[in-house]
Amino acid sequence: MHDLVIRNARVVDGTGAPAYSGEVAVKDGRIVAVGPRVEGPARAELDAGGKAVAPGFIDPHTHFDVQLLWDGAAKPSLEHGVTSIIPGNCSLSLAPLRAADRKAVVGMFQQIEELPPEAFTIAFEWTWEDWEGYRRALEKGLAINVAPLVGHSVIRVWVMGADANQRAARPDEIAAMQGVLRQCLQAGAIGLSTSFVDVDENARPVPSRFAQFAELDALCAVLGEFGRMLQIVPEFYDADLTIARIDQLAELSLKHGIPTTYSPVFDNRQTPASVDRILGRSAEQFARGARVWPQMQTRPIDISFSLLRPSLFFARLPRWVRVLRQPLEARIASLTDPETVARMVEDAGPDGGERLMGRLVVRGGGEAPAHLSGKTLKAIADARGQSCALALIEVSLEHGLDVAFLSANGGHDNTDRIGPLLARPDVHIGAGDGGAHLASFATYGDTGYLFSEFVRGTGALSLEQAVAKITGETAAIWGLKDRGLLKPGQAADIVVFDPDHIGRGEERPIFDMPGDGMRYTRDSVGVEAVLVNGELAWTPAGYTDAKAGRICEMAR
Amino acid sequence: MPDGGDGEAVVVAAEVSAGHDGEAELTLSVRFENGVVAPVVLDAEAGFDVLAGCGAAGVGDLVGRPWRQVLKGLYGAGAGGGDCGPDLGE
Repeated sequence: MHDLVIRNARVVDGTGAPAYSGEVAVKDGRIVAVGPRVEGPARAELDAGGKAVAPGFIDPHTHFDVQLLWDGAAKPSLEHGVTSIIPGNCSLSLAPLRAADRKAVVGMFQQIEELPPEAFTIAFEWTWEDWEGYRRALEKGLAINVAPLVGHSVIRVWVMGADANQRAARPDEIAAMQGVLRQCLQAGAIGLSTSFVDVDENARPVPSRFAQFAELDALCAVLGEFGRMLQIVPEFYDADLTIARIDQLAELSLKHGIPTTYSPVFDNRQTPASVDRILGRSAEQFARGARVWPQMQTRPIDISFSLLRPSLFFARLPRWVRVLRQPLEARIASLTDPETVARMVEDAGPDGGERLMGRLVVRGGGEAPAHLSGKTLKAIADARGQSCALALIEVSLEHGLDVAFLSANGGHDNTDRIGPLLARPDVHIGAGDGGAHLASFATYGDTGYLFSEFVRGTGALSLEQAVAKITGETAAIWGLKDRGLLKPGQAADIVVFDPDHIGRGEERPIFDMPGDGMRYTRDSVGVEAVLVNGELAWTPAGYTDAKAGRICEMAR
Repeated sequence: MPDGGDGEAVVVAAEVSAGHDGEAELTLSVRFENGVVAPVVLDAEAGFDVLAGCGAAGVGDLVGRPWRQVLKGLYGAGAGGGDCGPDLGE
C-alpha cells in the first residue's frame, strides 16, 4: 500500500519533458510510481486539482547556516516550494570551528547575513567544533533538506588561527587544510566555498582572500578525490577580473575533474556588455570540457538606502553629496537648516525631486514609521503638501534618519534581456542569497518570480524548462543523490503549485529573528503544498509538525 | 565624445548603478588609449572618495576627466585629499 498518492496532477517531472496529466505515488519517503495512472491503494490521497506537481525546488546559494539551528524549515524558503538548500557559500560555514575562534567567524556572518548578535547567543547552543559535531547539531529538527558547503575561510581559521586573515599559508598549513577538508567531505560537506570579495565586520578581507593559488589548487585536489563542487565569489563588479577567475576555475575543473560555480552574475544597463562577455567565456570553457557554472539570480536588484549613511543614489546631486558626506551631527544640523534644505530641494530639480525620488518606497523595519511603510514618496509628499525632496528629508529627520527608502528595479531588471540568459543551458539559476542581507532586502521568492516573470510574463522559458532548471538540472550540476526528479526511487520532495498564479508576495518586514530582530521577507504565492521526503511540510494553512528534512547524500 | 587629450584614457560616462548587495554604486565608462570603452564599478566609499578627491560636485563632473586624474582622486582621498581638486566636505 502506498503512503500517499497525488492524483489529478499536471506532472512536471524535472527533466524538461512535456507535462502530462497523471499521478504520483509515495512510500517510505520515496517516489514509487509516476505516470498517467498509478495502481494500488494508498493510506492518503492528495487531489492536486489539475495543478502542477513537480520536484521540490533546490536553492543552490543560501546563507541559512545559522538560522537552521533554530528554524529547521529555513523559513520562508520552504513555503516557496524549496525543499533542498545549499548553505555554506562565500567561504563561510559554522564548522570546523574551535570555540576560541567563534568570535571572529561570528563577525563575518554578521557582516554578510546581517544577523542580530542575539542570533549567536540565545538562539542555539554551540555543541560542536568539527564537521561531524556540526552535522549532528544541524540534523536535529530539519524540515528542509540541507546540502552544506564547508567554507574556505573557516578551514583557514581552523589551521592558521589568527594568522588566517594575515598571510599566505605555508606548505605544511596547506597540507593540514587538505586534511581538514577531506574530513569535512567524509562527514557530509558537499563541497568547498571560497570568496575573493567578501569582508568581515571590520571591512577586512575574509581569510580565504589571503590564499595563494597553490592553496586553492591543493584544496581542489581534495575536492577531486570526491568529485565535489568549488563555489566562488569572483570580483563580480569587474568583467575582466571575473573572466580571469573563470579561466582559473576552468583550469581547476579540468585538472581535478571537479565542477565549479561562481556567483553573482547580473545584468545592469550601465554595463551592458559585461554579462555577454562573462557568459561567453564560460561557454568557451565548457567547450574545452571544463565545468564552470555561472549562477544568475532571477530577481531584479533594488537599491536601498537611508540618510544615516551616504548613498551614491544622490551622486547626481552635488548639494546632497556635500551634506550627506558630513559626520552625523553636522549632517543633521545641515538637514535642519532651512537655507541648506532649500538649496537641496532646488538641487533636486524644478519638480522638487518628483522625477528622481517620487517612486521611492518607504520600507518598514528599523525605526521606520509603520503608517508610511510601502507608500511611495510621491504619495507621502502629496499628503504632506511638500515636494518629494523636502518630504524625504523631513520624514527622515522625524525618525532619526533611520528611514529606509527603496528604489525598485535598479538593476538586473530588463526581463526581455534576462529571460533568454536564464534559459541558456549553460546558466545555473541561483545566487538568491537566501538567509543573507536580512536587514537590507528579501532574498526569498526567486523561484516564484522565475515563473511569474519569465514563464507567464516574457515566455522565455516553458513551464517544464523552468522547473527543470531549478530541480533536475540543479541536482545534476551539484551531484545531489536522488533529488530533483519525479521518478521512482527518488526522494519524495514534491511541490504542488498553480502555474497560473505562482509568484512572490510583496516585500515586508517581520521581527522573527532572535531578540526580535528584523528581516525582510516575502510570502509565497500560488504554492499549494510542499512535501519533504514524503511528508507534508507546508500548506497555505501553515507549517506542519513534520521534521523530515535530511542532510543530502551525494551521488558520488 | 569627451577627450582627455594626448590620447590618454578618459571617463566618457558616469552613472549610478545598482550593486549586488542593494547599495548604489558608481559606474564609470572609461575610454582607454586603444579606443576600448570599459566600465569601472566603484562602491559607495570609493565613489565618494573619487568625487571628493577630484573636487567633483556630482557624477556628471567626472565625465571628460582623464582616468589618471580619477585614480589620483581615488588613492589620494584616503591620504587626506587628492591633488586634483578640493575636498567637498563642508
